[in-house]
Order: sequence, then C-alpha cells, then structure tokens
Amino acid sequence: GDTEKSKPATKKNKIDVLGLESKLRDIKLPEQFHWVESLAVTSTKPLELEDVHDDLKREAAFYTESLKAAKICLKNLKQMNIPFERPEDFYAEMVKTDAHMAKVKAKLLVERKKMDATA
Amino acid sequence: KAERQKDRRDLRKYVNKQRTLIFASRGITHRDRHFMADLRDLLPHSKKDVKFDSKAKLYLVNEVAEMKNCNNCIFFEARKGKDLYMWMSRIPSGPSVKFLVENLHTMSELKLTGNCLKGSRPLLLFDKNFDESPAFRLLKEMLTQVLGSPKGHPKVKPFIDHQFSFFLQDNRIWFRNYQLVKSDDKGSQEVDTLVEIGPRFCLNPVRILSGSFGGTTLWQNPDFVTPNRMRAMRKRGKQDVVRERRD
Repeated sequence: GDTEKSKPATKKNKIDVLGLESKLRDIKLPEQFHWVESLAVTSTKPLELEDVHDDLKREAAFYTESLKAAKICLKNLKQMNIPFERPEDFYAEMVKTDAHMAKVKAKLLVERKKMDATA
Repeated sequence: KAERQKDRRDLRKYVNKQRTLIFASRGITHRDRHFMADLRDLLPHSKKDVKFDSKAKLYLVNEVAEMKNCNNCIFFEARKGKDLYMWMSRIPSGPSVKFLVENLHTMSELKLTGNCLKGSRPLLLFDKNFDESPAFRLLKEMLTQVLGSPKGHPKVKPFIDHQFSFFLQDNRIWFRNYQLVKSDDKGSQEVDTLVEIGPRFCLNPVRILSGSFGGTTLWQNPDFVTPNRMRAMRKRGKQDVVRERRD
C-alpha cells in the first residue's frame, strides 16, 4: 500500500492512549442500555495458552471458555425472565441449507466407517 | 412492581440501532467472497452493496455507507489476489481499523458441523485479554456493535442459538462461532455442548485510525509484518536451506 510506504519508520510504535480512550467514550453504548441489547460479556480472567500454534490444545481451551460463558449467560437470561429459545413449532430458514447439512452428515458417516474399518 | 413493569416496557423497545454495510473491493477471490457471504448470513442487521471500484479513494466508502443508511461498515480489500484486508469502521466519524485476515476457514467447510437459525442473535464472548490495552478495549466495543445483532431490529429474530467468541492471543483476534446445543441423549434442559458453525478466522490488526477510513493514526501494530515481507522472508529462508545443502 502507498499509505504505508509514505510513513516514516519512526512512527512504527505509535500509541495515542488519550485518543483511543476518547474515541471509546464517543462510540460506547449508553450506560442505561440493558445488557440484553448487546449480549456481550467478557471472561473473568485472561486466557493463557502455552503455545498458540498447538491446534488441539488451543481449540479445547476456546471451547471450554466459550461453553462456560454460554452457560452463565443463558442462566442469567432465564433469571431475568427474558425468553430466548425458539418454540418447537417455529420453523425458519437456517444459515446452512439442508443440502449442505446432508453433505456434512454424509462426510461424518464416511469417517465413522473408516474408523470402524481400522479399529 | 411498577419499576419492573417499566423495565419490561423498555426491553420491548428497539433502541440499539446498528446497521452494518458489508461489501468489498474488486479483485477478491472466490474464497473471500464466500467469507463475505457467511458474514452477511450471520449478521441479520447487515446490508450489501456492489463491489467498490476505487482502491485509492477509500474515503468514498463513507458516502456509500451513508447512502445505505448504515452506521457501521465492513469493507474487504483484496491485494494481489491472495491477501485479504478487512476494514471495520464507524460511519461517519470513525474510528476505523484495518485488519489482515489470516487462517480463514469459511462456513462451507464440511468439518464444521454446527448450524443455526438465520437471523437469530449471537452471544458475544470476549477474552479478558482485550481489557489489558486501550487499543483492544476500543476494538472490543467496535466488534460488539458491528458484529453483534441488535435486539429489536426488524430482521433480527429474538432467539439465541449461537455464540461468537473472540480471543486475543498472539496479538491477533481469534474468531469462533459455536452453536449452543442441548444434547438429546442426556435429555438435558440446559445447553451443555457447543458445535462449531464457522467461519473461523484470525484478525491481525494493522492500524487504528481516528476517522472513518482516514484521520490520524491512534494505534499501530508494532509487530505487524506485511504478507509481502513474510513471503520474501520465507523465500529467503528456503534459499538459505538450499545454500547450506550445497556447502
């Protein structure tokens, strides 16, 4: 990019803390907004990974953290008496089509067969 | 009790008005296009526009977004047919941020077996690491407003069946999208399993600007290496290996 090239190298480490904070104040959702307007939560302690490139461990950690948060959030919603579950008889379009999900299932079956064959 | 009733009434109102324009520059690959389609499917409060022609005059994106009545914008910029940059901006007065998209897996990949309703709302989870620096605190707020589905928007359904998780690791934002599942076999009434829906990607922040697609730089990533440089370094590394073998 042309914009990057024209910048002198001395600006590399730029952090304008005051600027960042004032922008945050500008765009923040109003205090009086109920949590349910955004549904955003932050975990209680930072996730620390030994090696971010260890796929299995990383994904397991992401999963555990996510499930923990989901359980708490849904419990809170229930306590606040805010409905969030789809009624049994409510049918609507899904993000992935039926055709796509059929392919996913077929692949799972094939993989299971492979596992059985080797076992 | 009266207060509680007032609370209820407030909760029915549509107050958090977020509309996100999602579109791209010319020259994005089919994979990038799939990714863009994924985001459009997952963000019911999004709008689209045709491909944007000019790479030099990014500030014109603001006009497109304002014409579409959007206060947020996600704009994809493709370079060399291989690198994908993602701009995220608050219209009209900023801030805006430029990310390099890395480790992308779109929703169409078959190993991601989850699914969710079109138009339902996601829970948003942020890693506590976001709170450690002013730049990432700002990014957290931007991601919340740009990617979260606002309650009460006409196209948003009032159900919650998936969750966007954002983790800050290795100076990158890792995005995961999980379906919230009650596992049938245990006859459970509570959500106790997650199944990944996708897409999966990493956002490597390059720079935060005070305005929308312009203005002064508020933050710049000191560790950012451009993909061009990365490729050059990798190539040089290979050359070194060859040289060693020859010696």
